[in-house]
Amino acid sequence: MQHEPPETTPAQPILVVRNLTRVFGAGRSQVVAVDHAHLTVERGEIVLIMGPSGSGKTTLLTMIAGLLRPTEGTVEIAGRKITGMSQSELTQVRRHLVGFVFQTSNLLESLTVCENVEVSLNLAGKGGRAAKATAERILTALGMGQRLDFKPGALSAGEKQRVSIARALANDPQLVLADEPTANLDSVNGREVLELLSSIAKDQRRTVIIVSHDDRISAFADRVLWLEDGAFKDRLTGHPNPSLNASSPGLH
Amino acid sequence: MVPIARRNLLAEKLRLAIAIGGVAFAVFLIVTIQSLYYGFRSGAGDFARQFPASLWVVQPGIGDLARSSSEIPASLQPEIAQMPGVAAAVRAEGRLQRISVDGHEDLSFVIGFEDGPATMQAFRSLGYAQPPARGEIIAHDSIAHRGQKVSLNGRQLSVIDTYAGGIPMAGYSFMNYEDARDAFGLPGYVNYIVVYPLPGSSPQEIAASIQAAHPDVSTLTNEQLVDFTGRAVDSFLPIISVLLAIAFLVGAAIVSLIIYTATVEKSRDYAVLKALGASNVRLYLVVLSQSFIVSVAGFVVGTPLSFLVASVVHRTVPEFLTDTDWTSVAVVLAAVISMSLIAAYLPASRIARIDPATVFRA
Repeated sequence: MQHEPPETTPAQPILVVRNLTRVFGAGRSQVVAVDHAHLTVERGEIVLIMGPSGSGKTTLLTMIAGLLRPTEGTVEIAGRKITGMSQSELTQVRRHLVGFVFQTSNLLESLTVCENVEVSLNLAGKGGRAAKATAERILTALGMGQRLDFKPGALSAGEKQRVSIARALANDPQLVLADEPTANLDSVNGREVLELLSSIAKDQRRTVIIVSHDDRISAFADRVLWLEDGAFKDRLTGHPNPSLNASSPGLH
Repeated sequence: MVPIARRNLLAEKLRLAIAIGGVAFAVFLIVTIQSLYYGFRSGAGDFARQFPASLWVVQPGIGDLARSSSEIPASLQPEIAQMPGVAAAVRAEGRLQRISVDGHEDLSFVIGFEDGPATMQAFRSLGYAQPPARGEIIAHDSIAHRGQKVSLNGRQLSVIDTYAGGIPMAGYSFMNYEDARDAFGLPGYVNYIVVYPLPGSSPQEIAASIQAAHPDVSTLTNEQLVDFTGRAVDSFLPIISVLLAIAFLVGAAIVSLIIYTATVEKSRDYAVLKALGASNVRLYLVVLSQSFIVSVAGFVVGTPLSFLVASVVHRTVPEFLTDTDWTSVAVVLAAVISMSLIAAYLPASRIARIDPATVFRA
């Protein structure tokens, strides 16, 4: 069964985050992981969100992905407010609008490289030879054409991350969320993966949001945002910087 | 579609083999217990089905031959033989007896029929050339073999042939009528009078005539005898049901445990699939498919195995009587499918609890 992707308007920002807050626990054990964050990201932009461990980067990313419901605030992807959506609507959004690249590639070990990408297409309602052909085309474009029938266990960390990127792109998403995509890679492989993500953003006009500790990524980003104690701040002073909480240029 | 369920199962071949083996064993037990029940039930009624007499005159209250003792006046026989529609009325003595073979004792329902053309014809119907002569016995095949000597109430009898029918723990044997009277007959009484109707006459009408003339005796048609004898086997039904339930639960527990552990191991994969947009229903189908594949594979291995084992065992243990038809196999298949549905419950509930956000943790 084919599922229609949610409609989007090219002129809109791809991502609008308003007043996003996430509180875990209550009383004395209460933790504010994300604290009234604002963020607007345009199409084709590469945004790097940096910050110390426990600053709320991953919590912010999971809320943007619709995997975690915020305590307060809204997230809009391609003009659609995903906060307040039902689980099945969120599932549709993740299938069609968002691609994921994880820190560990999170490939399914029992499937081949090609099948790992096909699965993503299957979930979006595409099956059979067309799905296989699409998966092969994307993998070949990412330099994995010779590894289609390999199992992930037979791949290097860099190759696994390429397959992960291919899987993220399978359903032609407008927004790619990457969580520490270079954390497990050496400098050469890390650079290759970043070049790949950069070309995806620039050549295919997709938006890439990267969460990372890795300073080297900033060279590939259009904007670098510093998240600390759940809020975007000036990296040098540590003070809240309202000018960062919009579509303003970030820190370079 | 990418066959995630099949690939996950095949990724751990030893575990898959253990799971299929476990289900196959459960199916083997279910098929064997069920076919033993049907085998015993069918075997119990074989004698009455094969025997050409249509009516048994017995003491009131008697249901089947082996589990009850009937005593009726021997003097009724000539009177019944003269009734309209009756071709022959034959006296018979039958009793559950201890038979000793080489110092080993067994129980058998031993029956002897008065000699005559009707009895000769009856034994031919059962596949024998003639009824046993004095000093001879056709013994149940679980007790003795042809050519052996057996001892019954101090009498030495030669086994001239064997018989396979009867109820569990009381297979039928046939001996000479005079020997039977000497061994356990009572003067003036016989255990049964066996009535052979004339062609075209109704056993029910003959039965009504007998009971009208002699209200102190009762009659059993062959159909009633088959039914009552079958009930002897049905008395084991509660035990059989418990054994079947245990085998079913063992099979379901094995599948559930294997699929559950596989699900726990693959929790991250399921979290990734959820993050990528897989619905819970879709993931339930993955575990259900796994459960179904294991269960059906167990059925495919276990069913022929049970037939093979039953066939081999029957050759060495004749009382291991089994009977299976396609309906029974279909019932077992339905049980196996139910097993797969039950077994998928725990893994499915585990999947429902998996948080897709965990994929963002290294």
